[in-house]
Amino acid sequence: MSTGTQHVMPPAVDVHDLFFLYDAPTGSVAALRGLSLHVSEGERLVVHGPNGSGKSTLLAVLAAEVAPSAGSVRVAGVDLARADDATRTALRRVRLGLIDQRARRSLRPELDAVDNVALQLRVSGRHRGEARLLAREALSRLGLEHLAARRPETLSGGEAQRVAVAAALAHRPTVVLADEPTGELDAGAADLVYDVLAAAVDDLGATLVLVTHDPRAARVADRVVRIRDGRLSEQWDPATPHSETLVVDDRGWVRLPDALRHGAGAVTGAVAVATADGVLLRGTGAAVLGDVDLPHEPHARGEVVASLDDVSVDYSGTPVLDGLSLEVRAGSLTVVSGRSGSGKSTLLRALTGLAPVDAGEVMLLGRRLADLDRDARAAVRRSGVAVASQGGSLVETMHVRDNLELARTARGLPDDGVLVDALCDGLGLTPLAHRTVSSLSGGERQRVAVARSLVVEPVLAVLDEPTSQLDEANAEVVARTLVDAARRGVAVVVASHDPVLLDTADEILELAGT
Amino acid sequence: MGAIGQLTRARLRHRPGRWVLLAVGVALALALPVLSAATGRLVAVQTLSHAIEQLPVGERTVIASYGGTADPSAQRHDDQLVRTGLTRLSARAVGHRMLFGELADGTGATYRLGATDDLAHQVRLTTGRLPASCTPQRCEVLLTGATTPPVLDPSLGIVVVGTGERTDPLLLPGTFDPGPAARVLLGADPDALQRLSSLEQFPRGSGWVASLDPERITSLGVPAYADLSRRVSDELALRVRALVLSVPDDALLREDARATASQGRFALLGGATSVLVLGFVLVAAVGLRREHLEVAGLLRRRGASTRDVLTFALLGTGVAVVVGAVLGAVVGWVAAFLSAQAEPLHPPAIALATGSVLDALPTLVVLAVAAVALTAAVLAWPDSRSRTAWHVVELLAIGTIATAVLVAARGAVAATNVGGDPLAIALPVLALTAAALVAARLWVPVAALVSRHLPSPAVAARLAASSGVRRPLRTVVTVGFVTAAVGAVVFAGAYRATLQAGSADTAAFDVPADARISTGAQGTDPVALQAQQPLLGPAYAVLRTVAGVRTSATSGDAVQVLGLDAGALRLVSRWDRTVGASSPDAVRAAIAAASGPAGLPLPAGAAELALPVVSWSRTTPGVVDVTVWVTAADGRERGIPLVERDGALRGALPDLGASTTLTALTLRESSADATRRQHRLGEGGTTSSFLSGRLVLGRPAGPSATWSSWSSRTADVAAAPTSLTVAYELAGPLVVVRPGLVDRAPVRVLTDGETATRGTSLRLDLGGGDAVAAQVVGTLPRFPTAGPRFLVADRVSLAAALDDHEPGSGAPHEIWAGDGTSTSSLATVLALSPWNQARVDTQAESRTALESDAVGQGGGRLLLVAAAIALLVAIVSLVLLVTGERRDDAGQLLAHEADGIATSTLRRSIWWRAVAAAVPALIAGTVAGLVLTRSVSTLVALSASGAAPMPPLVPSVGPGTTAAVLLAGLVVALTACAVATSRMLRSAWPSGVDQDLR
Repeated sequence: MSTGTQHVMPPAVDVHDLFFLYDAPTGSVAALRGLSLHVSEGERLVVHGPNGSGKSTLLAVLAAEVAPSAGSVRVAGVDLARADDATRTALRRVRLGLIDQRARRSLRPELDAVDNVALQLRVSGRHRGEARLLAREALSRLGLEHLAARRPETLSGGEAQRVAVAAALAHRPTVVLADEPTGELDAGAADLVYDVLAAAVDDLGATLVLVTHDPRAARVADRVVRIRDGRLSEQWDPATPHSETLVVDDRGWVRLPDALRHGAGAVTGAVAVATADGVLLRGTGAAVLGDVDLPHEPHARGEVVASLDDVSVDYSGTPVLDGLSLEVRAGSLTVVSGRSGSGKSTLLRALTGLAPVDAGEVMLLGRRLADLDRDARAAVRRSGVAVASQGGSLVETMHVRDNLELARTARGLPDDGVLVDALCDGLGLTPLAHRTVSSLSGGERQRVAVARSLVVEPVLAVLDEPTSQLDEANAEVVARTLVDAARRGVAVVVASHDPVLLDTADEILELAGT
Repeated sequence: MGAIGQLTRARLRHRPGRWVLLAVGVALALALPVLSAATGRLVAVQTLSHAIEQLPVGERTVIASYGGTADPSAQRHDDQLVRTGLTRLSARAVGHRMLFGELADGTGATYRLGATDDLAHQVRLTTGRLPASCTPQRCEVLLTGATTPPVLDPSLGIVVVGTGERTDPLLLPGTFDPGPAARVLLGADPDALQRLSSLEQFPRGSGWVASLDPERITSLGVPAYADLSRRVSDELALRVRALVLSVPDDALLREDARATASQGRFALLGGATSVLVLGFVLVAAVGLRREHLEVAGLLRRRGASTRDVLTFALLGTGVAVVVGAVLGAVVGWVAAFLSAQAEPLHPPAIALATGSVLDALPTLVVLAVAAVALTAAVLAWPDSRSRTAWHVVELLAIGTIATAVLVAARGAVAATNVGGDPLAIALPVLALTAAALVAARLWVPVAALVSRHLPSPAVAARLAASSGVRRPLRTVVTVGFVTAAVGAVVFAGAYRATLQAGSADTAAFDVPADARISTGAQGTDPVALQAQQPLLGPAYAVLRTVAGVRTSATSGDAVQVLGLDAGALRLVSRWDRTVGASSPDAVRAAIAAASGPAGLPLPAGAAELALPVVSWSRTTPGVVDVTVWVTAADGRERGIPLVERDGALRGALPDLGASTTLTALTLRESSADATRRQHRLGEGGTTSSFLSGRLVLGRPAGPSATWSSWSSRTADVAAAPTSLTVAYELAGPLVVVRPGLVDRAPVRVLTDGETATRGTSLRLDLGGGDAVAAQVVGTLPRFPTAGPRFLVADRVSLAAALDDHEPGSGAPHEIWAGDGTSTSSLATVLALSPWNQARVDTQAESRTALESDAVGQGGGRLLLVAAAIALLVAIVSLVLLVTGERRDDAGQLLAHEADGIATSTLRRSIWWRAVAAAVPALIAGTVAGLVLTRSVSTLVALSASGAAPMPPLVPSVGPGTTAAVLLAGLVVALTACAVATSRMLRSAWPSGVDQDLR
């Protein structure tokens, strides 16, 4: 029966001018800064963005796990800014399907696969028998019925994540939110997950919001957006080559890509001129990075301080590194890049003797790691290797400066106030030098961790995602510091897919995954 | 709920070890309240048994007897009624007894005639046979207590058919007891014997007897038993005329009150265990928190409501805690059952164990509910509210401290009210909780401060402090718990030591020297014994009397007055506790008085005293008894009646040893004259006047004898070196003439604070209008063997003042004896003749009796068990800390290892975390335990044996035992942690932390 008016389907996800602030020891930090996003019913949206850009925060807001600080958010028709706890709970229980990066967060080891898949149905009030029946059907639809009786710990990473997908979709949600669902998977397993996810979403007619670093996820997307600094910056249609466009939000904000800014000699200001073809933006003022001398030309490199020779690593039969060779030379900055799960961290661990290799040879500072026991490997690292992991090894109760001095002391090095001052100065830490680490923000800690890795005057500095929580300006500061270190003869290896670091690399090792 | 239940069941099944650990921990701690209750019940049984044992044999009975002579026929009518009544009080056999008044036989010797209805089982026949018949005209009886039968008038109709010995101590108990030396003729039928026609009008007592039934008393409880006996007595009195029911209720109630008071202490201990339970649960909850948050996060993402998540938090731990509580009850039941079975008194073990569980049930339920609620709070507390959690800790700390202070400010709780005072029972909980909270709250800033000042090379220690500060929850909770546990250990040890010291103090208070010998039941004077057969060690006579101190014109307080020599003062052991101030020498100096005029020294070995009578003019005819009093060096005084013969007053001198002096002369109207005068006055005579006269005595024999200082308050005395003139009128009971009497200075005394408020000059009423002047020279908190109101004086001064009013009253009748070499040898001597004729109390026996008291021993055992459990769970919690830290801090450890830090250093850093938790907790717990011990000792006026302590308890840490136990516990805990950490980080490669396939 026609009503005489055209029925407009509301978007499944409607976000407008969303702000999200979280508390940090130094005050509130804005993770989302006026983000607007509209996802239609049945649309499959992939969200890209560098670490710290706000992707996961956006997903947490959409999942009603955290309340927005400002702006409006409607998901499956529910206004999350105004919804009470019961409404938000009901939304999650009935209409949302949430897929986590780590299957172990989604699957309980106490339950077999069927009961894990049936959990949300049980939470919804279904009897166990009925819930298990529906769970089996969900597994069957995804071709996973053979895993029904298995416990999560017996599943491979890909199997576990596919079961997690089934668990998130068994109750037939209308909106599926997935956060890096293939982040722990090899390429083959990731493809399987994408296939399962796409099939399931299609089957349900659900809307999919998929946050990932993996460019291959675009193959299941209707639209891809990129988030930078808490706002949408670009979007494109993966089915249409070269369709990437800048996003101009409701308030007129547009973010120029770095390459564009740098290429335009830009800029601290710009003149916008309307033309017949659109808007012409002409840069004015000083160059933003005018005081940063980031190298782009090759330079002489030193001797090999670490190497991988035909190294293979696999986990539970799944190859992560396969016949990889790498030489790390003094005075070079090597960036290991690749999507999540491509083996970046594994490579760093193997290179520094923190993880075994299944084949091949690893040399570190002239020592063959296979010949050394655990403490001997630690001694090698102590003699000239600095590792800055994402977890960090800062002493929370100590001042920034004391942390740097402790790092030297722990290695038996004499105090070197000049070096400490220089590093603090270079990384913008001088105002923080006498603050305890526990009072610092995540980004400040990352800079301290970088300083700590360099203050021990290493032969080799290995850093895992050192800019993941930094804005672009600070990322550039870190990049400059690492370049400086390399120019002083330090072999620097960084795992990152931050373009700022990639731009400064003497050598880039792109891991595609296996 | 279905999903939550299913997930809970799955979790419990999946990794049961941690749940089992939680349940076992809860069970272990919750068994203690049951054990406390069981100990209380056992102690009550033991105390009751002790009370019954302490009763004279004849009083261990329930007796219903007639107040006068009852009609035998009425007794038959009453029999069933009385037996029914007594059966309600005792399940033992009820016997019928009767006993005639004392009879005399033909030789004038006395005997008793009575009967019991179970004679065959109460005597052992030695000759003849048992009585077989009893008619109004002829009644056969058995002779006991003698072998020679009384010479009986045949007309009595009493026929002795045999002799026997009493084998049942309750044969004729209580009101029927004829005395130990009585000859008793016993018939076998009380009813029939009462109808003996020859004694029809002779007074008698009759009634029914049953042994006290401890089981009945135990099962009912003493108060209920006493109430029942009162009701039975009332009912019988209403239906049976002149029937009196005798039950030793008072003695039973007195001991029961002591046992009940001790229950309060057991409740104190039980209360302290609640901290352990909740603390252990807190530690366990923190261990479960990480995983719980993961599951809770998953449930939330799956759409579970807040209530579902909270339910999930409650269910898992609820099951474990409830299982633990049930297990604890079972463990407690078994322990109580075994304890009861091991008890020589054989109380009903099942009933006792079950009753103990029921007693502790409210505690178990409250603790279980609190444990579940606490666990749920820990699990459900959001990470984002960590600052609020600190505020909660601060508020709780302030609240508990304030409450504890308020409890302390109320002052001491009387011994009889400890068990019923919830605040007193809550004190350990409050104190330990406050200490735990304060220690937990202060740990982070202190650790942060310390970590900044640790030397740079101490990498492991710095890493440990840093890690603890960064993720403080587990460490802080462990610190709090270990603080409480250590506090409980210290409290248990120190309080036990305090009670033991208190027992020693009480023994020393009751018996200040090694032995205290006083006049025995047979009137044997120990001072005389000492003169005859001196003890080897120091022994000093003590003068003890009672005087009245006026509080108003018409009333006064009875005050115990002690006269002590310097030597006796020095024999007082544990002076600081038993007296509580000053010193023996200082006391001696304070009460010492200038020696007054001495008496006339008597020649050594003289057998007769002769006082030359220069003249004796009697104004009024009559006989005046003249007595002289001689005093030995040890204070013994003897009165020697003098007879006028050959121009002198003469009397035989007793052998009182050397240095005997003549110290008083008394003149008294002879008893015959006094009687005649009373008769004349009674017959209305008015001419009866008092005896009066003038006696002039010459100088007695002896080179230094002089009458110079002699005087009297009731006669005119003219004293010259060689003559003594006494012009007397015997208006009072006697005239006393003594050296220095008139000028006698007030006795210098030290007294208690209350008596001292009456002024510095006291009038000590001795009765009969006599009084002694005393000057208060200071106060003492208390003095051994004296009550709360006392006076301590120099013995010689006090004796002189007493003798001024009545010579002989200043003689001591008590000895304090010490044995510098061995108290056992002294005890051996005192156990032999002649000392065994006196009453001997030794400090060692007194202390042994106090220490072996059921209440004290029960409390001591419980304290040890509580300490052991507290120590055990503290050690376990520290091991859990290091294993949990290893698990939760894996990422950080890997980061350190990546930095080149050797695994040995990392292992040490994990071990240092245990040190960082254990050491401050040890310090804080020790302080808390000592403060708690001091508070409880001060506020809970209860000695080890459940009585009001005298002297007051003084907190004692114990002779290093507690410190040794704590240090041993610390060493064991840190060793266990070292063993646990030594197995960590041993794999060839670091374990992947959140290792994934990236």
